Amino acid sequence: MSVPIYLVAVLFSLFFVLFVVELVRRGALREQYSLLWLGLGLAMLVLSASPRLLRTLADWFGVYYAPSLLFLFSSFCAFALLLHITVALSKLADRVIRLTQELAIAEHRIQELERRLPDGGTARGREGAGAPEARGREGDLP
Amino acid sequence: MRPRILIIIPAYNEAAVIGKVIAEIRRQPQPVDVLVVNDGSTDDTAHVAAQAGARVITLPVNLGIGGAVQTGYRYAARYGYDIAVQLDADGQHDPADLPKLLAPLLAGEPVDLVVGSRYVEQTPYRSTVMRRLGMIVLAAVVRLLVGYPIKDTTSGYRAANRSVIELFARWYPTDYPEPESLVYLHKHGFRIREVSVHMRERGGGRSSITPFRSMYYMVKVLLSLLMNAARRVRRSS
Repeated sequence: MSVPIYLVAVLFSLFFVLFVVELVRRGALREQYSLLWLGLGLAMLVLSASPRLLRTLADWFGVYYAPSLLFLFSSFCAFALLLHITVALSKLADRVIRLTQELAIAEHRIQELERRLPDGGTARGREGAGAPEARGREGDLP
Repeated sequence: MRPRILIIIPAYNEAAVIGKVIAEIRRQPQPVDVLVVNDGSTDDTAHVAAQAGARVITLPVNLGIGGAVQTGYRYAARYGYDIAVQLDADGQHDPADLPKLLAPLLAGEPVDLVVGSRYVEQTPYRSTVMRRLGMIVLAAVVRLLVGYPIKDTTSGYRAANRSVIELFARWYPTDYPEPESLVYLHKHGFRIREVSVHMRERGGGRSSITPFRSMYYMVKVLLSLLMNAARRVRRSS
């Protein structure tokens, strides 16, 4: 086991942890999801910083080639994170469906009430006539 | 007091036939409100439906059949409807059968959901071998989970009473939802009854289920059914 690759691993882990912290600081990553990444990054940092710890652990588990323990560890972490992400995604999908339904029902109600207004809702109609998908989304259109 | 009835029509690009379907509904004697849930259609569906005299809710993005139908149930729950009937926009379901579907609920019989079944009197209804096989498997699994036979588990022509409306407003399966919702209702102690209806050829549009996707749907629906059966019932007060 050569020293340089451990050095690269330490630097990479350090950079990774700092990058996650920076993402949270900028508000691009929620604290909730950052904890897993920080945990993973710190674990990577500790393991790559002390090859002896890794070797001791490898001995415990009966692994001859210590770095393969690192591979095993990282793939477990990757699976856990992916599962975590799909769970979060499912929750998000449920919320999007619920919000879409509520929005559509509310929009229908608004139109209904506007039709009962003395001016027939034309004031609003002028600035945003048509189906909701045609409104205010010009930027998205191909 | 006369019960308030809402007809829920989920529609995705059904401009060709939906006007005729709505007109037929309005011609039958039972007074009903017609709600079209336009599931992000790219054609004239919303306009045609509104012209035909339906209320139209347009979903800003396509949610799929489950999300669209549930929008109807949520509307029915919020605005105090006593009965909600699901009916397809493509003309397969004959509005002339509405009285048949509504009768048990209006008469106060001990039933919560009435399913319009196509298999009691065989009509010239074409179906692929794969599709029929799928239906048989679904019917067998649903029977196993529910404990009594339901012939047409995939029928989207159904009438629900107020308590079913409230339950569906809270939870409804996403895609290919009919079989799963039957198991769900059974688990919550609701009573399901089938009445025979006349299924017609599609008047226009295409089935949302292509042969290529039916295998995927089959696996997914079976998984959902089993998961549903394994789930603990949460009684919300």
